[in-house]
Amino acid sequence: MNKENDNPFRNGLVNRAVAEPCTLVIFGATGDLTRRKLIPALYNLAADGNLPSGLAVVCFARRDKTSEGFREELGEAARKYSRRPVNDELWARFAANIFYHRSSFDDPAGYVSLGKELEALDTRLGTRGNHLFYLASSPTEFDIILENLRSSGLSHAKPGSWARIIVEKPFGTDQPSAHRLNEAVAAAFPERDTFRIDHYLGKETAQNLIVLRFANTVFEALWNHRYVENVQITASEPLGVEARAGYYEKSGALRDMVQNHLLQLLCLTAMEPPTDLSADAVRDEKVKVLRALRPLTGKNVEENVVRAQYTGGFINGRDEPGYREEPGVAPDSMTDTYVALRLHIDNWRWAGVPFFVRVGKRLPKSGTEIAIQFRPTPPVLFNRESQLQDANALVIRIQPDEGISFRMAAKMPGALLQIEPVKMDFHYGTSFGKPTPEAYERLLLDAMSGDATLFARRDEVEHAWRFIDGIRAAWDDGAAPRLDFYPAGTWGPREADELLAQDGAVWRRL
Amino acid sequence: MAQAVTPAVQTSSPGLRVEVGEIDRKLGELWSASDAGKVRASLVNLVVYSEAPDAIAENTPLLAGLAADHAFRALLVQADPGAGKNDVEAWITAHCHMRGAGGMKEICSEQITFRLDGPAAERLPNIVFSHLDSDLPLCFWWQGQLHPQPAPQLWTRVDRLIVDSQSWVQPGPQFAILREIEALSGGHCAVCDLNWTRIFHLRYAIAQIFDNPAAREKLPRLESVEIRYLCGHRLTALELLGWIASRLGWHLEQDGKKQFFRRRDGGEAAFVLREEKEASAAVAAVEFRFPGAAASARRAESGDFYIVEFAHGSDVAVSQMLPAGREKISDILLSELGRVGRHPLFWPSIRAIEPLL
Repeated sequence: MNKENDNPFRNGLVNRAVAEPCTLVIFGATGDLTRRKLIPALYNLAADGNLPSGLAVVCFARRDKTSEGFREELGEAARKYSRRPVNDELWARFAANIFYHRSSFDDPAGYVSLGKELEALDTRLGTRGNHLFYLASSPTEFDIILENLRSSGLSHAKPGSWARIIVEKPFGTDQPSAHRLNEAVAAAFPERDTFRIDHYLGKETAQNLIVLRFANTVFEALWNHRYVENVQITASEPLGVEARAGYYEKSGALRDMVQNHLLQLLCLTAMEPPTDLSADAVRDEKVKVLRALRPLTGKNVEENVVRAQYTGGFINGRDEPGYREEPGVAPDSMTDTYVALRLHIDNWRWAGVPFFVRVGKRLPKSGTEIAIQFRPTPPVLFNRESQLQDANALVIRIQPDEGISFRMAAKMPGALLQIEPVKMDFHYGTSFGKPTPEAYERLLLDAMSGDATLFARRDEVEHAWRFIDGIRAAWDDGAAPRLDFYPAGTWGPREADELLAQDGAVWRRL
Repeated sequence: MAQAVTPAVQTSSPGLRVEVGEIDRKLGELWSASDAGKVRASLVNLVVYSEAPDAIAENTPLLAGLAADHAFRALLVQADPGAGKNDVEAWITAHCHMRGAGGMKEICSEQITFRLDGPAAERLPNIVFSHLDSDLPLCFWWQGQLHPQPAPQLWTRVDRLIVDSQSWVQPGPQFAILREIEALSGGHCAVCDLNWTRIFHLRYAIAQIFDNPAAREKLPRLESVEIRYLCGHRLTALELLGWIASRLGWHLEQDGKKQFFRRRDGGEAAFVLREEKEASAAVAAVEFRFPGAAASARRAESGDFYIVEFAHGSDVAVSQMLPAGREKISDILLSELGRVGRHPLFWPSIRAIEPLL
């Protein structure tokens, strides 16, 4: 419902859909996500005046807690993790509408009592029967929660109201499990009310990719195989597996990062202009990219994918153990902590252009970026000797220090004709004084407004898994490349450099 | 030269005095002499024009503070058209702040200051156009009363004219000049009244009340509006009243000494503008009365928020805190600079209360 139509005072105030009154039900609310991300994000939305007048948060979890006690816990978390200082008066008002609902996920009675609580809140707070369910629990609990939401009738909104669901990653562990999960979600919620979160899409720079490409004449004209030599997408972090060994041993870098975040960035980089900015128009174009991805299976995997694992090394002034020495990791683990891939998108625009994607833990520095490496100028005039040095590069930094830089050639001052690369740099943080909202703020607001543009659609997820599964299958059936190793604190294994060298390219230095 | 590039302390000094013809060269020298860690940034050309005798001392610290949140090239012009001499003086300086990822970069905005005395004040268009950062939008903040005969050669090239009607002695004629400027520019120049920006958060808070269906359905039968405002901010309150009236399709009528609004359904809606000597904000509170219900938006004691409420009988259907925005002129200006586009509801709101100006 667009409230601008019937609230005469809304007109001309904001140019986005307004969040609608609702109750947000967080399943698995005692976990880190609620504390570190969701509650701080909601508080910041309240401080910006972006929350609807009627909003309640029901925290559904197993542990024995009271609403009062849980509010205090969340208050401490908000003070610690909110991007802005917490105002006590505002927090008190916001927290007054947070409620703890104790139940195990598999107890149908817990959902019956949840339904009664939601009805009472609808009456008391004017949330109008709008319910936004957030699956923040362990993925192993998703099925039973969805089944109970369906059987209790909570997934069916009353006329004039809505019931939506936000699903946290990982959305499955392969295509069949993603398909099963999609079926379970679809049995309870229609696709238009399903919001699969990939928090990378909530980041300002990821959203700015569409603006950069389609609001600037100069880039889109060059955004194709005639001018682009290769595209490099990098996500690096100095952190190791930390306390996530149990999860990471099963997922590895390919499933943890490539299937979702990096393929989403690849889609935004490579997609055709959508017909409009509606959720489905944008997502249709992203799916076309995934469908055009040349499958990597069998022998192709060995030729186009490098998987590696970090060994002991030195990083940020400290000696760090190798992955296999980390607590909770098998001493003979074959888990990939680093993956580099050469991808091809078989469509008219990108024919012949390699997309190099790499992700790794225990790399020298933290950074996620997309680099468009343009073709060098013809080898006449100024470009007889060093092609690589002179090639233009457009870099979109997703995090940290969000921004865009463009490398170009310039003549050094002096009598000699000496050409050097120079960089034009745009930093969000220095150009725009206002702080960048957290990704979860934007995504929660969009879910409350019913805008699914920044969420993954069912077919996107399944296409992405199908692609990843081909690689996994090759690894598992022995046709895979061996597991390579790299010392912590370096930029990955030598084999990853060789992968690019085959195309006459080198990885960008972050 | 480097003494002109300084961390943005709240100094009123306009910086290094330079010859007008030398400004570009001296700015170049200033940057080449500063250390490599400084980044020169600009999103907009901001011209600040004033005929107040202390305009330079007043505005320089304001611009220094503003630079922390919105990079610009500022041209600060203090003019005295009636001065007995014909003189132009100029200064350059930069305002630097630690910003960027981890606050590790020193970002600097430039300020060029002019004092125009006597006939030199008529050279304003040339002074402005000669010293703009190319390709960036031109925002012109005219402080005080507008001149009755606006110069077309200036206003056709200004992207955004910012005024603060709160400072106007005779708002009626001033609004007429503002309309003339907008027309002169062929609609190119967007008009922005800081008084209108001043009530943005309050308008937002009021809108939030009427997102509630129970409150919204009462709107057609709104019986009265009472606005409490701080002494000296009658025009701010009037602009808010104009916005409410224009959004609801009301028309101002007079019956003898009684003034009221005629609602769309033909009924009457009363209004009260109540001046307070010690209000917490320019507009401290707005109260709406309906048959059997009431709504209000009032500034919280902390000052940072509005508390909005809608009560139907004894049931409180809406009670929420919403950001109020700060009331310092630099904060209001910053809010305006951070906004894109025009203010399509501004003129309809002014028209709705024109007889009251």
